Amino acid sequence: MEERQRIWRTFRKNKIAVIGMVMTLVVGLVAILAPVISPYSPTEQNILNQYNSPGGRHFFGTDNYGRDVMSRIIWASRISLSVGFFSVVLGMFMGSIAGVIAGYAGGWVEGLLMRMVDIGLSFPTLVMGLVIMAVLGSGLDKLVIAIGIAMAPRFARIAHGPTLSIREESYIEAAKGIGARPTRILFKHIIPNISGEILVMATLWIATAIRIEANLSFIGLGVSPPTPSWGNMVRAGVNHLIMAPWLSLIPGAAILITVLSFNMIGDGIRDITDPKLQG
Amino acid sequence: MTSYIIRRILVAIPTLLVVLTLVFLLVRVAPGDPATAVLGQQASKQAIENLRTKMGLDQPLWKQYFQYLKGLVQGNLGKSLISRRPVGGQVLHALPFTLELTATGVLLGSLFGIPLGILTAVRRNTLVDYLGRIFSLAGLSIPAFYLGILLMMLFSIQLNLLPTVGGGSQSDIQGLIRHLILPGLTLGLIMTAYVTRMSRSSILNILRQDYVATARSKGLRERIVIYKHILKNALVPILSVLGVYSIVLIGSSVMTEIVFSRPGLGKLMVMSMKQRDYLMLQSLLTIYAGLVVIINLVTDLSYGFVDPRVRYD
Repeated sequence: MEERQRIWRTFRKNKIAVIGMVMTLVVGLVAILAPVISPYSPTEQNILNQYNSPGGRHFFGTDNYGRDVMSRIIWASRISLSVGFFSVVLGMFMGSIAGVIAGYAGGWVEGLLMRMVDIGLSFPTLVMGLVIMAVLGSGLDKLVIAIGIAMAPRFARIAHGPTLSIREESYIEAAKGIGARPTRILFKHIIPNISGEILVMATLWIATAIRIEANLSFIGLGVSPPTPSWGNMVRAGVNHLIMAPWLSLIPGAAILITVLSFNMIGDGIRDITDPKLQG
Repeated sequence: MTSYIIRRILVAIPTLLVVLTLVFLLVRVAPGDPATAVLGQQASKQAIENLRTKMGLDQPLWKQYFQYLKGLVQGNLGKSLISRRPVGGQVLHALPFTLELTATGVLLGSLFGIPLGILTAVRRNTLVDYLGRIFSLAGLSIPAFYLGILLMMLFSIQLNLLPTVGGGSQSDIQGLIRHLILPGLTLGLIMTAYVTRMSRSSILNILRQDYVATARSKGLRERIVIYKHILKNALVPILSVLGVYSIVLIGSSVMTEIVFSRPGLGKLMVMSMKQRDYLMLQSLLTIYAGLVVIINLVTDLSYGFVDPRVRYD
């Protein structure tokens, strides 16, 4: 309990982090309440109502199909948040299990796994996500898989190091001595010991995952229309920049605000993990 | 040092070979057939078969693989499946556009980011520091394509100062620079955010060292303490961060090239993905992996310049 209080106090001291947390909660609420607060249908077209400027009955205006931009933005928050969350969870599981196995097994298993991790790290996450997306084809589930795989090597790196030192601890030897199987040692003794660091990493990577989703959808490899995602809305708006700039600017601002609020939380988490850098 | 460079390059070759093999297999398990992509869904079976033969796609996989490797050793990347133009030529044409863009980004990033990092660290917890931190958090949150669109709206559409899209021609210096400003600024601002943040934290770390307290207590002026004692020691961590984020920047450069229709590697890559141009895609990805190897090497070498204790042997 003491520890938890200390963490919370450190976090609260960082004003940026607290504001980020409030902003994240607001975005989360918007996503959960989408069916309730969305004023119109996100996909219903109305040819008579194209290119309405923001204001009036359509707070964020309407697009080239006469769809209400605000409703589309509200519904798209569900996609961004869920892709961000689930892809990080997937990448975390794949990566940390690979890293822990590599660290615990040693020998050729370690050599092979870490070699693959190195290769994964030699591409920017976005380029890797792009390639996997090109292989899998577009779709929401595939986005989660692609971003998850792209992030996995980063988690493997983080899990691998501590495993190496925990492997040498006497309680592991004791567990082996009483005949515990390797899977038991991995899941009962090693993973709980490194889960803190990995969870911190995961929180920091959610922002990146959301940004990658936006990038992929912007290129046209992610969520495909008519399902609204912030990335594909910006893309669709690029063709109307002069006539209807709000079509790109508003969804882009939604991406910025969401990613920013997660990064602001990350700023506070860094303070906790590295107290020397506080403030 | 020469032997160190040679050894590092030799070590990188197996990695690149594995990357090449993985990419080779990966692009071939991808759904969608390049011949169908060229001819369209309505094309007759016979026509598609003929085109596949012409593209060499009817050959067994291992044969295609060795043919590709053989060409690579001879410095021949093969021909694009779609345009039938040599891949090597197209890549060589695109490469300068990407390198100029990335280099501008790294340059602007260090030019603005390092001083901003010093400023925010020294004026810690003042208004300047808060503004600097919010700026850098915003910079690492904004997607490159959105920043590009914002700059384009301001400078090209509203003020009508700079061209919106294209890359200019490599022979026309003035046009080249005009086309480089906005994309370069896009990457530069993002890089500034990363560099500011990291310089701030590495300088904060050094500010706490005993030798800084000693330097101050013997009455040195703050300027000298910052430049002679703090900055010199902060340069190694800052350089390593510069290396790491140059790699991240390659990812952002793909998006920037797409927004500004800049004819660089990123645009070529996304195009080849959409057209299922395997040969082009595998060459491009290998080049990206190669660029990362080079950036890492240059980063490691640069330590020697700022820190005389670093030896390469």
